[in-house]
Amino acid sequence: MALDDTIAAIASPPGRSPRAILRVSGPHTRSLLGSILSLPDRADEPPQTRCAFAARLKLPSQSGAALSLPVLVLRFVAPKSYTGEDGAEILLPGNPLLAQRVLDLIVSHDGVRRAGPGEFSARAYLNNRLTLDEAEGVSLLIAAATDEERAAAAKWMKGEAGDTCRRWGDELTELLALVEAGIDFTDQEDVVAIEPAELASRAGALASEIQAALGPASAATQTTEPKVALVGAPSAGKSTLFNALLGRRRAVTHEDPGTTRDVLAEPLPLDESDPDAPRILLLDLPGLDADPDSPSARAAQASARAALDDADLLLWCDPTARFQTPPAAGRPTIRVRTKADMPVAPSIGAPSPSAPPPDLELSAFDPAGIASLKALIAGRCERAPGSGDLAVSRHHRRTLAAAAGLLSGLASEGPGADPSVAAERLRTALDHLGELLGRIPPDEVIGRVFARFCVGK
Amino acid sequence: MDRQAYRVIVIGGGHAGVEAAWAAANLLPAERSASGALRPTVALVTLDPAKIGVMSCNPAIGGLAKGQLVREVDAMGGLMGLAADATGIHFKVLNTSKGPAVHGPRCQNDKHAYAEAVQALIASRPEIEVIAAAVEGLIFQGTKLAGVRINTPLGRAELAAPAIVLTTGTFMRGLMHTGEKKSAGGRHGEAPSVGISDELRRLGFELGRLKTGTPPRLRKSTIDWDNLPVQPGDDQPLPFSDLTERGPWSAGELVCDRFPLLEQLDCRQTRTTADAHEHIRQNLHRAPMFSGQIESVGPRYCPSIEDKVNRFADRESHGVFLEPESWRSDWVYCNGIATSLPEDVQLALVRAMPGCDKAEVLQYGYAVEYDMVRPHQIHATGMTKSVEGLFLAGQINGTSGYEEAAAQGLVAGLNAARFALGEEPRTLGRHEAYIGVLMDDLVTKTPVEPYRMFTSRAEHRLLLRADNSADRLTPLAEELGLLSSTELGRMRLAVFQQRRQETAELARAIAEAKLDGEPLTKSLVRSEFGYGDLRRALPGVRAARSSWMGVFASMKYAPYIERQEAEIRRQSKMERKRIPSALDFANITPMRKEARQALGRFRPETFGQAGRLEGVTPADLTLLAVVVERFKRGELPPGVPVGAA
Repeated sequence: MALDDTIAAIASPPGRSPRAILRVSGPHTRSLLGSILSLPDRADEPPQTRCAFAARLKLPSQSGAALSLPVLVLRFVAPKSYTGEDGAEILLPGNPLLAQRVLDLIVSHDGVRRAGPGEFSARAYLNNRLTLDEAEGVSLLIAAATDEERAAAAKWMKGEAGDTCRRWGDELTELLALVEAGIDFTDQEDVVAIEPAELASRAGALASEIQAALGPASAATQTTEPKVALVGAPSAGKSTLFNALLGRRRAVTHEDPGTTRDVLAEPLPLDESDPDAPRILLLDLPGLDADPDSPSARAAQASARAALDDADLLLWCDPTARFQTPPAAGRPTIRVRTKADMPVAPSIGAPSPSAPPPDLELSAFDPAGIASLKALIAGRCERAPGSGDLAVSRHHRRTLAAAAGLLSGLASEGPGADPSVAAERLRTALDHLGELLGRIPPDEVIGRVFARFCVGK
Repeated sequence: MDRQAYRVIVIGGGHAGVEAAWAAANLLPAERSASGALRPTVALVTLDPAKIGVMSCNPAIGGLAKGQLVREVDAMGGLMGLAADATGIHFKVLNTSKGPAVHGPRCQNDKHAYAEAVQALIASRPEIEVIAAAVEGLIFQGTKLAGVRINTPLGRAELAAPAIVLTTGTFMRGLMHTGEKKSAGGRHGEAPSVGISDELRRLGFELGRLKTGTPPRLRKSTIDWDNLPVQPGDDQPLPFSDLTERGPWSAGELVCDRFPLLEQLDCRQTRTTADAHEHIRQNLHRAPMFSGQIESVGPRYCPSIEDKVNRFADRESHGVFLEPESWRSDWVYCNGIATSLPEDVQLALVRAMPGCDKAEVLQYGYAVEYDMVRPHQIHATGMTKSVEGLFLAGQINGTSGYEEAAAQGLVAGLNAARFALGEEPRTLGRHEAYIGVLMDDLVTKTPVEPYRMFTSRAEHRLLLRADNSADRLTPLAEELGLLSSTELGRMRLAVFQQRRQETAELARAIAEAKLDGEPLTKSLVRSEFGYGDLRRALPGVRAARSSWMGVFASMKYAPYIERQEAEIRRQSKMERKRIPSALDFANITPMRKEARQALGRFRPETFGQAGRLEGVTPADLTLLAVVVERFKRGELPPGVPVGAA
């Protein structure tokens, strides 16, 4: 808990709201905004005065292709802000998962971290932006929030996920104790240091177990929202379908091929009337063109390919219904014959009998067709309840993934590795796990050594 | 009664006491009186001056994590490293097969020579006056600590000083046990100190009681020495002090003009036997540790042989190292069989060990119980929170070990002198030194056993190495004035300058060198590239061994050190942010009770310390930050519940 670094948190109430608000406060606000935003007017840097401005937020995906989100930024300059520090509020489309991803992006910035309970108010108070009475209120609020968190954590610890994490913590503590025994107690006749091969294999096994439990969604940037990409040749009607699915004109459409040059991403609830209905992240990709004719077209193709590789489900759009060259082999795909209200041009000819039939024929202007497509997507996106699901928050997912990463690094070390470096990695991994289990202090590790070995000359 | 006046009074002449007196003397030059005579500024009060610097237990200095402590004390101008270098008879760096971060320099000393060396060092200081006396109580002027009442062979007297360092070791209400026999005392043949313990209790201190033990000593000539397996020291002994490495140095009558100064000798190894274990088991009811005669807690890392036999019943044998204690006597220390069993059982145990069937026991092992002050009552400077000017160091704070004692003595002596001079306290951070880890652990944790340093206690272990102790601490010691006032200190500064030059040249040579066509800096970070490889890669370059090792280790660990340093920077504001001592934590009613209680008991001085208390969460710290700020602005008078407004 430092008081002069930069903190960030989701400021909108939990649950669905039309807009999600991310609040940032502290000296790194400027560099943070500079690095995550791209500005419409190609300005070098976001404005540094108190103002509101529209921008796009570059949200990197697993494959490296950036999604570009439209955001509204309210910029505050010290001391005229809620906290009295430099700060900003970023308004996003109101999807909680999306807001989480943006928060993850923000706290990965150097010098920025997640705010603790009541921290914005604590800063506001310290910078004379809150009265004494308000500060009292904040104190009580912090206490209440802490109690709630503790209750939630206690409940989680009692559950199956808690058991699993405790087991991991136990094995990790054991490994660290064995390594520490070989460092701190080598002058003891009875203590035998753990063999490098055994350490590597046990660390590797633990890493695999954690990774398996986290499942494929363990990667820090991946969201639990499935990504659904509209793919197909140029002028296949993807952007039109994109707008139709969203129910608003989000993408520019034109009959000229190659109109879409950028990957667009929009969260989409598959059933507006049901708040618990699954949501997806719908991606509009530039048309796939095997032979792009300009550098900008080549760049567009690269980003389209990257987004395609990252997508969970493909909507393969083809107005000709021929579905000749699959955009990506072996990927979950829904074949959509677009422009079903228009006849196929005679020059193209009828699809060959061997061509797979479309899953759906639709016109973007037909509400019933759009509803069917949504239902089809919802069916395909329903995730099987895999064994890999560990009920933890995104933040904890990330810390577990970091611990697993350190362990698998350890597993690949050669036999000559320095045990103090191995211990350093194990200690860091254990501290990551400690975020869920509570910190495991060095005394407990040393205690294991005493329990196991006859220490003492 | 006329009071002799000093700036600092140190009570106790053990490893904490002498280091405290030495450090205080470095800051408090002897004063010239009206008559022109030099007047000492530091009084060192001890029951028997001939026992100053005595090694009560194992005659060895250093070891794993402890060797780092000695190097640190030495880098700050302390005396332990010098005394150890001048009297070592068996040097060995432990853990050399592990990375340089965990190398632990250790030596065994001629115990008579060691105590004499310490006494010579103390005698060389005109600032220190040694006074043979028992301390009977503290003197207060109003509420202010003003001195001590002592009882000397010549009668009662009073000594005056604004700062007093109390280092009672195992002597506070010391009670020794050998089997059913009990006798009052802090060390074999020496009386306990009783009055001071009652005085501390009267002052409201919460005391605890701990136990430690020592093994029997044997006569070497009665052991079949030559037929037991040899335990040799290092071929090329490495001294603790860079001053010794680059020598010569001298202090008064102690002259260290070569290294090693004393002839080296080997240790031998033997073992306990299954029959002896059985004999111990049959006599457990006579063992004070098992009969209920001793209730206090001993260290888990240094269990008695009866404890080992009981807990590890399947073991048929435990190794025992036979370590000669001195060239001047034929006493041998039996490392591995600390015990308080009855003498007849000890004798049977010893006689069953190979090579010892005719061994004569010169002194039987015993356990000693003693009073200590629970260390949450001191600041990280060693000063007590409730009595300004009263400092505690060593076993009184619940630690064990000469090195841990010396480290605390240095910190307490330094800060007692600063207190006497009206200067701000200075503590060491966890990232600066094992000394800092030690002091921080003492003030943020509840000890369950005598505290001993382990490298695993240091979260910045790769940074806190024996090889870079001078780089970390000598500039600080200079800044604090610990070095410039004495000849030895000025020599140390010169030696450090040499080291700096050498390490800079070495770093340059490494940066320019190639090995098999690859930059040496790249080869160096490979895990299989060792210290020997570096020496072979640069055959023409000359530098002291300590410089080579310092450069090698800092390059080897560079990526990890960078990460640790970033973490240290992140934490530094927390460590610096202070909590006013007048703040009443009990009144922060919105805070969880557990956190309030922990804060109320430990009364942390900084947010860093508060965050390390068990039961205090980051959210509690946020709330505390608001409360502290309000308190500082005078919006929160002490005693008004925070949540009640």
